[in-house]
Amino acid sequence: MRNLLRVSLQVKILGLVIFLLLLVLSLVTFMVAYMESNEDVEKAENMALQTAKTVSYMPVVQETFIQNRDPQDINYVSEQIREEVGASTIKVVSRNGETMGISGAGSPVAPTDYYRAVVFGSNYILHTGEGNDEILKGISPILVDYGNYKKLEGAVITEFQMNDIHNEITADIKKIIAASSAVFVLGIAGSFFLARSIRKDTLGLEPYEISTLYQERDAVLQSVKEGIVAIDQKGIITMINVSAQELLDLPDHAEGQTVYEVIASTQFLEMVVSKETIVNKELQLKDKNLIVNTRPMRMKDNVIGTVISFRDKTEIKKMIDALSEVRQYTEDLRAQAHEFTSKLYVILGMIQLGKLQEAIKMIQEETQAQQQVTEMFFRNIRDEKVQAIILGKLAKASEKKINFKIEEGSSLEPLPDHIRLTPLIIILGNLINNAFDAVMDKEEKIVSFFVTDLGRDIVFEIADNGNGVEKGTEQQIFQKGFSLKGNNRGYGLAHVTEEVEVLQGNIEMDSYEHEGTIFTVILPKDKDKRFGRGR
Amino acid sequence: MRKFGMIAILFLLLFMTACSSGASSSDEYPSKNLEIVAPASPGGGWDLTARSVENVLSGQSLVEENINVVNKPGGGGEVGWKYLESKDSHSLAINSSLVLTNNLLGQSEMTYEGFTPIATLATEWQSLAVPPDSEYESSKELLEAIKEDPASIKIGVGPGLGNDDHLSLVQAASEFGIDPSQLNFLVYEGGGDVVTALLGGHVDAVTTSLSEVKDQYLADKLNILAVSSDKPVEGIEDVPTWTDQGIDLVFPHWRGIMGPPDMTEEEIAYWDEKLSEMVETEEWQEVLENNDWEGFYKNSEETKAFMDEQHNLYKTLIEDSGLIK
Repeated sequence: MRNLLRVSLQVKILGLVIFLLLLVLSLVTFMVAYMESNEDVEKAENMALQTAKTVSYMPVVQETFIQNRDPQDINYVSEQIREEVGASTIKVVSRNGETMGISGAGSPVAPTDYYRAVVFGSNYILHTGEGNDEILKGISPILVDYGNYKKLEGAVITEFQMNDIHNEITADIKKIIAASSAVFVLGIAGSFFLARSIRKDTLGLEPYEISTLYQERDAVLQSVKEGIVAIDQKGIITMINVSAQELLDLPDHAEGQTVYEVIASTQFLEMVVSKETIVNKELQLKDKNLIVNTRPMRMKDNVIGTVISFRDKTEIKKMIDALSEVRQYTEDLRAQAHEFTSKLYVILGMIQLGKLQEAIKMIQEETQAQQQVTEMFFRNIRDEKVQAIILGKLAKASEKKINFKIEEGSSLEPLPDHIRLTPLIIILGNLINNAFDAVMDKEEKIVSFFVTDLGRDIVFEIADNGNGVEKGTEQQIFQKGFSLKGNNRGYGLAHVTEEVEVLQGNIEMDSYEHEGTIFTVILPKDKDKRFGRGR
Repeated sequence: MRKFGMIAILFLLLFMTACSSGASSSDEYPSKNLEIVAPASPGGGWDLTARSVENVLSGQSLVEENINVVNKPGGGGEVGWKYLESKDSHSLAINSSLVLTNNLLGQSEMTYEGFTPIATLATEWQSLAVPPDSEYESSKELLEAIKEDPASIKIGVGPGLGNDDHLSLVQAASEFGIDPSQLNFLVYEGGGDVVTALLGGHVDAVTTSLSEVKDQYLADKLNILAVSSDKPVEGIEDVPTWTDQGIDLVFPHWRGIMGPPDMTEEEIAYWDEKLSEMVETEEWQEVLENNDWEGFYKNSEETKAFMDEQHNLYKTLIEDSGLIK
């Protein structure tokens, strides 16, 4: 069945048209032929009766009876009439059966045929004979007016060969069939061209090919990460892919609704209706940072719709942040190397000056500091990712003359696999940097770091002795765009919060004005077991 | 469930309205003025019948509503009956055998079955008359002569062929074994002209209704050879019927009354009651006597059967007799 239906468009259209045309034409032909033949017979009957009546009233017939005029005259007149109406015979008979006049081929007339005419004065139609010999007779009485009285003197019988009538009907039907055949051929030609024209419009593709193609394109569209939305000139969404639905946080049935109904952002709507090509414009939508491109669709200078595509910039930004953090570490390490070099020069200078005691003392101090840090560090904090981050920060702290302490009792086994480097960099890097920034204008700059993985959670604690957070802004600082450090910043804590949430952990802050701030990040070791806390 | 309820209520409503409308129409009939159509000009038999019915029904207060007589002449009754066809059940029309023969003779498309038979009211009888000095003393002698030489006996008839005057003699001749097509009929304008032709010696015999010749017969101006009644007619008991003379023929020239198509049983019953009362009144008896009519009352049911029977009779007469003889 499927294969049967899967024929080319041309075959489909042709098949349907041929079927319909055949049905309609045969019906119409049959109906017309049927009505026509009925009408023809009726017409012939009327003609026969009218002719008979007319002849019966003709003066020449009346006078033949009244004045015994030469019956031959009747023949002339009736012959003329017979020719005109196409009757086969016109016969005038007297009451006792005598033929008064005849024209055309005469067949014997039975007295029963005209009995009712000559007895009751009736006008009527008779069909006699069968098949090819069927004869249609119109019979009319001859009522002769003798002045005082009238008398039935005879009858006029007009005969038509039914064969002739049937032949005429057949000829008519042939004409109708010829006409319908012409229509049939025209219809087929028309449908052929229609199919061709449709094929042309569809670039020679069969409908099923079009649908396959459509599905393919749709799948492509749905699979790209970029959000794509198409709207028409009334703002109705005609197409939307999965990414766009997720990015805009739209319900599943957004197609068919207007953008005004489903999108609240006026900025976004402005772009949609601007009817100008917009390239890489940044847009803040809810908690996401989107890069939007729009392209109006034009047809003969009229804008018939717009295609909008957008990417989530948040992710890109995170990657950039992480990258810059890494770069920072290399910078810091270089700075540390530089510091070391200068220290080496100092030691060299001391040795050259013969101040060996001082040199030895300095070397001892340096190594002790290093050792204390590194030993505890490598002994207790086993995770390499955290090690790398802390090392970088230690370098930075020493450069900035900040006392960055690893709290006693810190311990960390290697982190589970689902906690990857990038989120760690974002979380710890940002928090520690913030702490560094907070203590910058203090005389004694202390930042402490504590980590423990006892129990089911991993707990990071970053404390500073800065000025603390102003009262009333505790909640704001986690929001995007809020910063105590000037404009176009303030993504740090927001990103941190996001990453913590992705890892199904949480972040807390305790702040005491003029005393300092403590950030606590708690991440579950086994993230799938933390029901009810995920997104 | 609610749907079914709705349907049930609808049906109930429909049923109630149907009942109420049915009841109201039977209660109210007749609800307006009545009309009797005489399908002829004033003065003829149909007109006389219509006016007599109106007189008696109104005069005896049998019907309270006004009754109007309307004349619709033309086409041998055709015009009046066509008119009736388009009216409601408050119109009735006088009819006669023409309502059957018009169709049988190919002069009309209408059939008697297209109307509602109400009643047969009265009849006249047909007569065969000859001049007083005629050589034919009995109908048998005349028919014998016609059989010998049909063309030699001129028979007057009017106003047209196919009426009861004509058909009665055609039937009589058929019964006697004469080919009706050989009968030498002269067609006159009307019943009066026929009698004049007879008295003037232009024809040898006439066939006409008894009322046309009865007075002349009593005055001995002509001789009646036969009447088409089943028993001798009052006043001229010495005139023999066809059956008396061995010819099986009883031929009433009846007049009746009919209504438009599709009258309800209640409406028909109303007229059965009123008309059966009417024919019992002395006034109606007087009408019959004055017009030489004979009481021929049949109610709607009997009339329907009678019409069917008459139709078959005429059909045989017109279509078949010629084929047999």
